[in-house]
This record gives sequence, C-alpha cells and structure tokens, in this order.
Amino acid sequence: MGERIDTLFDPSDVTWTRVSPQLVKVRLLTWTLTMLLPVVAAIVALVLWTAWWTALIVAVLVGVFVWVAVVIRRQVPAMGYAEREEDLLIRSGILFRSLTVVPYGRMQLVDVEAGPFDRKFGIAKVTLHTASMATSADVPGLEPDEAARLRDRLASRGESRLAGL
Amino acid sequence: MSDVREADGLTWRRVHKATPFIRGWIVVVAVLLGMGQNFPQDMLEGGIEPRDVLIPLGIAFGAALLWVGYGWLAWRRMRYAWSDQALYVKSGVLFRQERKVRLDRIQTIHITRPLLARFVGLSELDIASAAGGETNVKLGFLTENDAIQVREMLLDHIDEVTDDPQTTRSPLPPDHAEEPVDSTGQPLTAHSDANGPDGHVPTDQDADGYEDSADREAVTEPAPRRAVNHAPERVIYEIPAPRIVASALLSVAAFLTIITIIVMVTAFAFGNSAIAFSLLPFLFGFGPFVWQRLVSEYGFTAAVAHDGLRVRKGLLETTAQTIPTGRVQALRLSQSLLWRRFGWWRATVNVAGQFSLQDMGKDKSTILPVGSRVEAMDALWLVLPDLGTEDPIALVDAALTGSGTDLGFITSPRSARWLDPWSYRRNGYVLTDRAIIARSGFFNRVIEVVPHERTQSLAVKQGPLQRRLGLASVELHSTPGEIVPSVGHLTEHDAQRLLEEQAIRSREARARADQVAAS
Repeated sequence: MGERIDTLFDPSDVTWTRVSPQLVKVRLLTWTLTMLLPVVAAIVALVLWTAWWTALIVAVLVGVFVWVAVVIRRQVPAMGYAEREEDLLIRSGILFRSLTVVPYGRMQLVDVEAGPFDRKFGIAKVTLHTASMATSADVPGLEPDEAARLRDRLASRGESRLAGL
Repeated sequence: MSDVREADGLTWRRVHKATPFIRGWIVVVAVLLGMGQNFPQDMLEGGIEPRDVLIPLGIAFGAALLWVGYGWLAWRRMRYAWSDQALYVKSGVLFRQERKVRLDRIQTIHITRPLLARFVGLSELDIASAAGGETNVKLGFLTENDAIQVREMLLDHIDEVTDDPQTTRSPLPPDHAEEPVDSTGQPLTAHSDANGPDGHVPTDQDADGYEDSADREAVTEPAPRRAVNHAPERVIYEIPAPRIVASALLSVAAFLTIITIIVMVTAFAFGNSAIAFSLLPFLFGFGPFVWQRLVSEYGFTAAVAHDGLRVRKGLLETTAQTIPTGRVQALRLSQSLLWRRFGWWRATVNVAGQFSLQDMGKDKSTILPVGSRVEAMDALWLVLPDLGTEDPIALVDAALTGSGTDLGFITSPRSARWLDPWSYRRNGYVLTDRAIIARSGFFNRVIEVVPHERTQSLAVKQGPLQRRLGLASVELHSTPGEIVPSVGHLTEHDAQRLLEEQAIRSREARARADQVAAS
C-alpha cells in the first residue's frame, strides 16, 4: 500500500527539495505563544478552584498543545517542492495529503514574505499567485537566498511561458 | 452630452444633467421618512399646527437643495473621455480624482438602470476591469442611446487594442447574423434596441432542436470582426415568466418558507402566537432568497451580440450585462431534485475578472436561470462552440443524466461507495479534445465544463479514509467565481493520470490558443 501512495504523491521522475528544518522551530514557537495564555489561565484557574472540571480543561489544553506540536514536527518534513520543465510541484501533508501543480505560464505574480520569527530563524515564504484563488501554492520555510532564487527563477520562467487568461 | 475639446487632444464628455437629481432623490426620501416617523405620534399627542408640518418640510427642502447643489458641482466636475488606449474619468469636488483605465484591462461593460433612472430613460455604465472591486468605474447617468453608443465605441476600441479575436468573437457565422434563425430553423426578429426584445424564442425540445444546435456548434470559423460588429443581436432564449416563478418556488428555500407560513398560521389559529412569532426569523431568512431570485431573474432574456452574450433581466431594476463568452473560464449546468421532473437546468459561468466581494449579492454569472435541456446545451455551445468530440450532444446527454463508464467516462471505483453511497457511479469525468467535463451529484445533478486552456493549476488531495480505500480527488483551479471544478474519489491511478495528463493537455491547448490569437 505504501508503494502505491508513493507513486501518487511522489512521482518517480521528480526530485523533491525539502523545506528548511528551521520552519519546525518557527511554527512550534508561534504555536507555543498562541497556547501560552490559555494554558496559564487554565492552570491559574485550577489552582484557584481545584475541581475535576478545571483539571479537565487543563488536560484538554495541554493535550491539544502536545498533539499539534507533534503534528507540526511531522508535517514540516513532508513539505517539499520540485521545479519541473513546465511547472512547479508543491507537496504537503501526511494525513491529508495534497500535491499541487502550478504551470509557470499561469503565474501572475510571486511574493516573498517573512514574518518577525521567520527572519529571526532565517527563513522566508514564497507564494505563487495565479488567476485562481483556489491555487494555494505556498512554499514556506525557505532560506532567504533560496527564496529569492526561486522567486526570480519562477518569475523568469513565468515570463517566457506567459499565457493569457 | 456636451462635448469639450481640450488641449490634451481628448474629447471630454459630460454625463446627463439629471444625474444629481437621480443620485440625490434617495437623500430627500430619507429626510422625509425621518420626519414622517414622528408625525403620527405628534398628531396623536395634541393635534398638528402648521409649523409642525412646515418646519420639517423646510428642512427636507433645504437638504434637497444642498444635495442637488453639491450634485451639480459634482456633475460639473464629472467628465469622461477615451483615447485609443484608455478611458479617462475625472470626478470629485473636494477630493478630485482622475482615473485612467487601460482599455485592454477592461473585462466587461454593463448597462444598469436603477428604478428612478428608468422612469426618465437614463442608464449607467458599469465598467469592470480585471482587478475588480473598487477599480470598477461607474459612468452615469447617460441617456439610453448615449450609453449604448459609448459602450459600442469602447468595445470597438478594446477590440482593436487587445486584438484578441477570442474576446469579442461572435459565436455565429456572419451569414447567420444577416438573417437570424433560431434553433428550430424559424427566422427570428432582429433586435437592436435596449428596451427588451419581444421576439419569438425557441422552446421546442424535439429532435430538430438538437440537430440544429449541433449544426451551429460545428461552425468554429471566427466571423470577420467588422462585418458582424453592429449586426443586430439575436435572441437565443427568453425565459417565460411562469417558468421563472415556478423555478423559484421549486426550491428548498421556497418550501421552507411555505412550511413556515403554514405552521405560523396554524399556530395563530390555535391561539399560540408565541410559536408563530418565534418562527418569524425563518421567514425573513428564506423569504428574501426566493423573492430576490424572482425579482432579479424576471424577464430573463439572452441574446448573442458581437461582443458576447447580452443578458437582460429584472422586475424592478432592469439590468443589461454582457458576458464575454470568449472569457468564460468554466461552465456549470445544475439541476436540483425538484427541477428534475420538469427537466430544467441552470447554467452559470466563471468569467475572468468579474468576481469581487462587493458584488457578491449581484448575480453576474448566470447565463440561464432555468431552461430546458436544449436551452442548457445552447448555453454550453455559446461558451464553447466546439466541444472537440464527434457527437457532442450524446456526450453532454450522458454527462447531464447518465452514469457509468459509457462514452469514455472515468468514474469512481466501487470502493468509493463507502464515502459516496449514492453518486459514486455518476461521479467522474470525460475528456474531449477541447475540454474536460466533470460529472457529479445523484440528487442534485451537476456537470462542470472546463476548457483545457482555462485550467490555472491542478491539485490532487487525499484524506485518511480515501487512502484506506485507494481513492484521491483532483481539483481543477479556475478563476474566482461560483464554480470550483473538481473530480472526487477517483482511483489513485486515475487521479495521477488525470493530474499528469491534464497539465500537459492544458499547456498544449494554451499554446494553440496563443497561436490563434497571434495569427
């Protein structure tokens, strides 16, 4: 069974570039900060009113926190992209897998974004826009040089293959 | 229209003098309404004296005067002009704005007529560019004739600038444009006025209708642009009012409305008004939907013009809009369970650049609100004159109502029945030389047609249950709009093949389309 899945989301003629492991750190940090306040508040509540339901809230919050953290650790290595002759492939997900094919000729513009944490850990995100809003073609977790290289490369390839709507 | 020639070589025109009044009347009404609210109360509390009436009236009059004065200043500022390259609009009294819209960025030009403007025979031009939303330009108000003229002029210029025969190509051969013939072979009355055509409309559903549709569909040679440019519009279909009403009533929302009303009346009859009132929100929830559909689609008429499909509709506010058939990105034909008995279909399209969040409420994507199967196919041929298959009618028939793998359909495997117990046999897609047709829905039938050159990008997705069953779904990304084409629950093998081959097919189709456009 594993083999069959591999052919669908891992075509044999494609070499994938994985995203930077730094992305795990950025995402874990963001997630920790998001959950910090609720968890602390729940623990304070548990100290003030020691009851089964406050304990339950703390348990659920901590459980969610750990679960998502584990998912992030597994998800990031599954992300990858590959430049082919005519299109860019973007792969993501383990449980819910997805593989997107974006033809160079369809790209309208290419963005490079980096938030404060991204910059701290030296990564950036490249987003491709086509005329479709459904195209969710993000490549997060690229080193800034690689991001700039990818952007320029995509832009130049897009230009040479530019097609109208 | 007073024309002013200025140093910049552009001929600046003004909009109609009545514009400030039409724009201002709503303010006057609002002021009067505000006054009127206290009026009955005052009357009850101790009679009315002349000043109680005169003062509010004076305020309303003053407000109206101010508004009209401001409107007059705005009218004086408002000018428009066009060159070979762009449309220029100057406007604004305090915050002056000069907007330049490049003609090759203009996607559509609608003519709209709000209620009051309609009484005095004025129209407004709504010019949408690819960016959509706030970049749209409203040019109003103009007399009916001016509006049509300006639109024709702009379309002509756009035609020259873009030099893309696809965008303005009429789906009709030139000789047909001379003597219009409907799908049953009878001559049609020619129309060029904007007041709504009154011609005969094909409603026959017999075999003749099918054959003639096929004939028309087979003609793919673009008509010489100039020759058909000002040819009269040809009415394709006009939806009879009873059918619009029936179709609006045959909807889930209408059923819920009627059930709600029955329950409310019964509750009242038994003296339990609390229940009756508690149901009011339901009535306000579903009622407007039915009403809106009725009002906006009443008198729906579609005609072929040189620049696309000209749609006119509306009960209280008539709108005329042109859907450039050459820019349609995807088409959907759908039939709800309640419509099946009548064999009715609804056709909607995604058009590049027409989608914006502000226009969410306005329906700009329906090209057939409710029509027979023949009319639905006519709508399809309009958008995609050549389906790229030998027997398009049989294929579309199979797509509309069929199931199974006949005629080359690739459907979900048996294992998909766990996820999709009803429609797994119907779910699937078929390919032609020109387009992909995705078929789905057991109760509410849906087909989505996407020309190969219109696919933006592709994606394959697989959830944990799908992986267990060896299934995957493929998404075809289209421009923003109502239609989000996809093929659900294929075998992994089929999904991969579709993904790989569709990418190649759409690339080749694009290259072909670009060659045609360049030559």
